[in-house]
Amino acid sequence: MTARVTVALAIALACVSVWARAAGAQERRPPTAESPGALVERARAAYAQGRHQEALETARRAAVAAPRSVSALLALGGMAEFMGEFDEASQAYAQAQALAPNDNVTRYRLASFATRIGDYDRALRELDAILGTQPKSMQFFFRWAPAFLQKPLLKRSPALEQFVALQIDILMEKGDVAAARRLARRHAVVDSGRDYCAEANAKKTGGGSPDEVFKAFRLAVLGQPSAADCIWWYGQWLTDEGYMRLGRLMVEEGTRMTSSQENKNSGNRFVRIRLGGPRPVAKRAESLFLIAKQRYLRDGDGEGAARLFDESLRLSPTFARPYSYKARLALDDGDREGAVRWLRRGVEADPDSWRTWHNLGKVLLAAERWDEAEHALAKTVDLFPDDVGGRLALARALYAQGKWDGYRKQTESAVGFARGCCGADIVKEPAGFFDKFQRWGPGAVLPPTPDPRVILGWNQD
Amino acid sequence: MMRGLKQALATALTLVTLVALATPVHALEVYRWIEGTTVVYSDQPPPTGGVVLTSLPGRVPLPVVTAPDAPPADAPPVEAAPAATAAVPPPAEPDIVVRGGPATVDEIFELSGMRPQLPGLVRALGAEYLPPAGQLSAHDTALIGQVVARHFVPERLYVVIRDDFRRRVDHKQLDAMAVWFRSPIGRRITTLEIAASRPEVAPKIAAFAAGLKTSPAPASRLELVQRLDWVTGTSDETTELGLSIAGSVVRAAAAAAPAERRTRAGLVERRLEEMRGQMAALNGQNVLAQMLYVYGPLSDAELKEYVDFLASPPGRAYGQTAHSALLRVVREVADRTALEVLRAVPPQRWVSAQKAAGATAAR
Repeated sequence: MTARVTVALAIALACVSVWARAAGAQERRPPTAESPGALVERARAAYAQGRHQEALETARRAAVAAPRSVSALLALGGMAEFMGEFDEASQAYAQAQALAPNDNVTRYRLASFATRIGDYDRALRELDAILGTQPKSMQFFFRWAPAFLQKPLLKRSPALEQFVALQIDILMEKGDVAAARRLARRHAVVDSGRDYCAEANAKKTGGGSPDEVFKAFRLAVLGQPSAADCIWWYGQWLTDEGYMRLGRLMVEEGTRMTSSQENKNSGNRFVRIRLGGPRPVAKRAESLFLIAKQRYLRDGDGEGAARLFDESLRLSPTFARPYSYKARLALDDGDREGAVRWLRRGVEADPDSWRTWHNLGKVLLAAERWDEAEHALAKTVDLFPDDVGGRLALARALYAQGKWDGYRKQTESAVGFARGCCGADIVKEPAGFFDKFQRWGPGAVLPPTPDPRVILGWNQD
Repeated sequence: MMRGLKQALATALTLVTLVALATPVHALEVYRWIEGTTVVYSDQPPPTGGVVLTSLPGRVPLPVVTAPDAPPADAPPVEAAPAATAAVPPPAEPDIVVRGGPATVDEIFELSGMRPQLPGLVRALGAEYLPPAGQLSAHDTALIGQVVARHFVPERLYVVIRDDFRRRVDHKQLDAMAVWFRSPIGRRITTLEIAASRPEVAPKIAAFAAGLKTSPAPASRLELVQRLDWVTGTSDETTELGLSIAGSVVRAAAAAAPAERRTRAGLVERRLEEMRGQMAALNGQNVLAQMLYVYGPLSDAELKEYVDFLASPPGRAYGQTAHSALLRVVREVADRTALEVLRAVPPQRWVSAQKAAGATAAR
């Protein structure tokens, strides 16, 4: 996913930079400390240094100071979009477009924003409009030149390469994988007959950077429609990153393509217990959730994050993930009961959300509400039997209640699975505790409950 | 906002390292220092030569008792134990008479050593709130001393623990406990525990622990003390006790920060959880070393008898009930003390004092 974010970011920053320069030229005066140009620069600097809220506030001041400055409006739109303030971003972009209706930078930003909020047709229209401004010969060449000519063309023009990448992303997000693949082939992003899946797997096992691995699997999806395992893997990665919609699309595609009935069942279960099953998430809700997560985890902005989580839930009330974050925010305030309430709402909204049950069980466990924890954690491992952390937590709830057979069974199962898949070290502590239990009977302390990462696609929310 | 949060947390952690953690009678050498906003625990000094703030608690002594007819520690020492470890100081003067008939909570606490040892433990816990000599002004140090003296009153804590214990055990359980604590072996063991809990024995225990690296205990003995720790949860209790003091200061410091810079309660708890992991690892090793020392004079068979008692229903009932009662009251008292300490001497004064000390040291 990093590649996607990087691209979007690079575009946003490039545009701000271009327009800052353009505005400077148009206004024909050196920027003063509080001039719109200077404010835009300061917003950019604050953004680059990770002071995102300050960047947004500075961009707001720039837009107020120069309501007819496209650069200031685009800066505001970019910062507001980045911070999840979508209404404000939408308004700023609209004002910028009204001022410069034929400007390609503005169109590009609009296309990007439209993708983020799920208005895919608008995004494609903006890209078409950009292409329409190019010379006819260039348009013709871009549209119809054979693949072997497209490759050097794209290589020579990073902007064009990004343009195509964005188009492909939009089509994928829209759910039209076939069109995305056609586009990728037409522009020689992928070649026929090449084993992208094997290359991606080699990168994965060969220690390639996450970004490289991710890009490699994306190419496998585009270039090898029959590579079910790779498509599925890509979907699970996206799921961990929080891209519910594209992740779902990929897992469903992988499930459709696989010949193994067992894998089909597994894929269907994944969609049901990890991706909301029959409760699809609106794109805007998903985007708000992703940004809220960043504001919370990266910026420590609990208040701003909470507002975006609420908005995400308003748009998609059955989207389970924000409930877990609302619970986490409650825990940050020391409000354990509040956390339990949010998680209970989460499992009511999506009773098949394995992760929400898991989180609920862990909070109840921490509150030493053993029987309730047992119930939630039993449901957790019922939904996802390979959940090592959930099973160890269930074992603890059983141990605390003196249900030794249950403790033994759950621990053996968790430790056995973890050793089989990921090595003994991952469950060293619970295994050591279990050995002592077997040797000496129940001890005075409750068993440890690590929550190890074991399988891609089941870790982050 | 992030700046405020980090500052508040750093203040809290600075304070916790100044005053936190119970140091029972004999603490092994453990180092504690700050890296960024993280408190690091190690049995080695900080690699970068950072400030060592205090030592970590060793184990809380097991309940012990002085008995009128405790036999001398005449069993042969553990084979691999250094000679010094066998030289356990003579038992304390007998001060109670073992009797028959129905047991009382007071009697059990007397026989088990809870009562005789509590004043020492309470003093050690309270002392953790006191700044190192010269760090704060005499006036501030005196203020803190007064607060601690008001809250860490052994007699008052004893009454709370005893009443708590009384509510949770019945006469049948008390009588079953008494069978062990009144027995000759029970009294002999508590005598050993009392003897080893004296402050002057601490260096010997430290030397013994160091000696274990070259002369490890026999496997059978190690198995027994590991099982002892397993059934009593001693290392875990030690960690909890330490955290109750550390947590009290961290929470009080967070509460004392201005509203806009206050660390959220859940984040404080999360930070304490991280500290728990570090402390637990060190405590586990310390406790085993101390147990090997304390029970060195016992034969494997005698130690096994003790472990079997502690694993039996009355032994478990005693251990769990007494330890949770102790922990509960210490937590309550610690929270009150920390709040009052920081009210009497606000965090800024601690921080400026530490900065001044650092500047002086740097020169």
